[in-house]
Amino acid sequence: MSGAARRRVTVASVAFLVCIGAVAARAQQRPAPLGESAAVLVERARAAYVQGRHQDALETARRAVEVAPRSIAAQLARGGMAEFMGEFDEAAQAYAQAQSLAPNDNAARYRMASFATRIGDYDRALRELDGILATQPTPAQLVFRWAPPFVQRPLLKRTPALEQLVELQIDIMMEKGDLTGARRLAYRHAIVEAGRDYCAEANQKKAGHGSSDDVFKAFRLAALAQPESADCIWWYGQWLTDEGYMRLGRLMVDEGTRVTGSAANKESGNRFVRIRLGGTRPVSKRAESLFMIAKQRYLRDDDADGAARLFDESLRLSPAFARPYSYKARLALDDGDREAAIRWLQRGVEADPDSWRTWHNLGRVLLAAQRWDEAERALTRAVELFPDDVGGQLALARALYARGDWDGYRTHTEHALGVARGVRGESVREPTEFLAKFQRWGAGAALPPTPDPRVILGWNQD
Amino acid sequence: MKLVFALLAVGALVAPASAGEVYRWIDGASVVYSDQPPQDGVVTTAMPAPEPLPVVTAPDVAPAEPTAASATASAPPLQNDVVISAAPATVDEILELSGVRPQLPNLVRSIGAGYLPAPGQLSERDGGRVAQIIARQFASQPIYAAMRDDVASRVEARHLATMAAWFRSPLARKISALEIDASKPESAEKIVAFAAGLKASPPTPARLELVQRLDWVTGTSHDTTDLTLVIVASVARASATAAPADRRARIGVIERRVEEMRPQMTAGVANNVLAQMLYVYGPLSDAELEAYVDFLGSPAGRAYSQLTHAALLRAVGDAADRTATQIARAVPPARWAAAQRIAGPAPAR
Repeated sequence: MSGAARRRVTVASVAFLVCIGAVAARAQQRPAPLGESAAVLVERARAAYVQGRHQDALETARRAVEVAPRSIAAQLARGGMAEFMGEFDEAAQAYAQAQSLAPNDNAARYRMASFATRIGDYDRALRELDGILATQPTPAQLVFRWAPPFVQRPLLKRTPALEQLVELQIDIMMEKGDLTGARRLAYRHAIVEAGRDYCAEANQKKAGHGSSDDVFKAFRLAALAQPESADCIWWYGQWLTDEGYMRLGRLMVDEGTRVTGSAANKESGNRFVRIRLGGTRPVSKRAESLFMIAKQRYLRDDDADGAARLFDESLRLSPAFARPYSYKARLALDDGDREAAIRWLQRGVEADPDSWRTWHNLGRVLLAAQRWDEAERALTRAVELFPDDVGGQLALARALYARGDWDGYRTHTEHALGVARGVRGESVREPTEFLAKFQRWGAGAALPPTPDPRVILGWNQD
Repeated sequence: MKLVFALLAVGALVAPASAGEVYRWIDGASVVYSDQPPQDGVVTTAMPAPEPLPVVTAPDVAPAEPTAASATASAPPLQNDVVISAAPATVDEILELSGVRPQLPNLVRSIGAGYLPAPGQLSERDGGRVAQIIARQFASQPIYAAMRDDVASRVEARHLATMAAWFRSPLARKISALEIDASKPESAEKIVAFAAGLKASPPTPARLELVQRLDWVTGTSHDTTDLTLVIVASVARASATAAPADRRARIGVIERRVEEMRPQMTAGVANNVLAQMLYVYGPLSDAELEAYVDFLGSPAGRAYSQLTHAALLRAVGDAADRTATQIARAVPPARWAAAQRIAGPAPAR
């Protein structure tokens, strides 16, 4: 490309990024045609959100809409907070209102696209993104669509909003199952580059105990850049699983399983999908999103009532989705109601009899209730489904010990310690010491300890 | 046997209480405890026992001078005031001979003391209310009765007979006397001095092995941790109940947080228990201690340990819950000038 051509591209790019850059920030920056108080309320809602007072932020955004129902900024603030809190009907209403007020407003379009992705309306999301691009000058559109990666890279780097748009497009395609299209897009827009070993980088981050977010991003890039890297695609799927992304997690693990040449790995992948990701049981995107937001409201905001309502809604939409049952049980335990917790977990294993984690959780609650026989049955099922379940094996060993089955105790403890030693020996120090005493002196009076360590990516967090 | 160690652990958490006298006598097959001396003529046993039995504890006695670190407990005389008979064993007899009952008043008093405000923490009036509640809830007799009934409802007759055979033996009586002696407030400083000297004068490997095995077969460290956590949880639950609704922690969350303290606490308690055992059983020969360990490791010995521990946990747990709840109602947390001492001192910064 000549110097002049490159400059033209640059000029066009600048024009483009100005247009796109305005999209994301517009709700905050545009002088709103509304009374001062509505603008102040929107600002206050934003501040409350930043400070982690999420319910306050939503209430304040609602008041802003009451004060100025025709304010796009107020509607977007309300939609954004409602979406963040899992109040999807309210969010949909606010975004629709914003779009009806300003049909060509790119900020409203982008928010609608993002929301549509969250609830699984991918076609709508893509239409909105196409709509945003269509409002750009033709040269900018051409640059965005056809410029080579070395032009795209600086363009995206200097334009976070544009990069956000591309990333959203990629996510949508991945969630739709169009991995080839997602990869093509990632290469075209220089999200990934040829010849770089993203998989090795991701493994390095994983081994180096990088933050969960860093590890996730690294494996995502590996899955996009290296279609043949079965293990990395698989790790990405397992990370997604832990976080609660059932659908994309399932797609990634399926893909890793398809790509791997090892028969044992294929079997392992298929088993993971069956016992950890619900197999072929349907989980709607909306139910999945509600579940993830409910977890946040519970764990981050300590909002048990709000979380319980969203878990209920998630179960109403996808009754075979096992994971919300475990959280409903946890909420019941928080209320000190162990019997209710057991009932929730029993419903969970009825809804998905292959859900290893639900059996595991049920077994542990029964163990705490000293219902040894029932605990033994539930935990036996858990470790049948996933023999490397260290916490499950140790819990089963305790149930057997309580019933005087010393051989059973020893067998399951030794198995658990064998699995854990290779990964995180320190996490099983107590059971190791307990077993040593048992072997030296026979059965003692206290029951064996039952830590439930996080051992392997993909098997945690619920 | 575990009570002495529970007492020492609780003693480490709380300040010793002032205490009134406790009287004990045997009435037929039952052993009666009271803060009032028995009336003339009520003491009837299978063996002549014309005099009311002596006062068991005198916690307001001034502490003894610290002894040399290497000194262990001295062997007290056998409990001549306890009637031994060949009659069928009763739970009362087992709890008496094993030293559970004699040690209980000190234990419950120490636990109750944990709820007392530090000087100046509460007004005189509020302090008085708290003291009244504690005195009512931590009276040893009802707690003993609850424990006895609990054990009686669960113990198997065959085990009871074996327990009696052991606890009636001279060696068992000697051991119970050692445990009772160590549970007295004046022993606390001796034990601390003894533990401090263990590095310089370590026990023989054989003796260490024996006390480790003793802890293993009885689960003493574990049970002592249990008891401590039960008390901590009761205070936390009561504080939560008294907190304003919007700041009230949920019961299950409190219990989970308390349970999370267990691993850290267990290691510390285990070390203390071992040191205490080395002190308490110091006067025994290895053969005598081994015989004790063997009994406690037998099915009857295990049943004894498990039943008494479970009964103690339930009885003390109920009393602790009632106390904490009533205190929180009578004197809401806002009126406490500082954190409750039962929660322990603030960590060093």
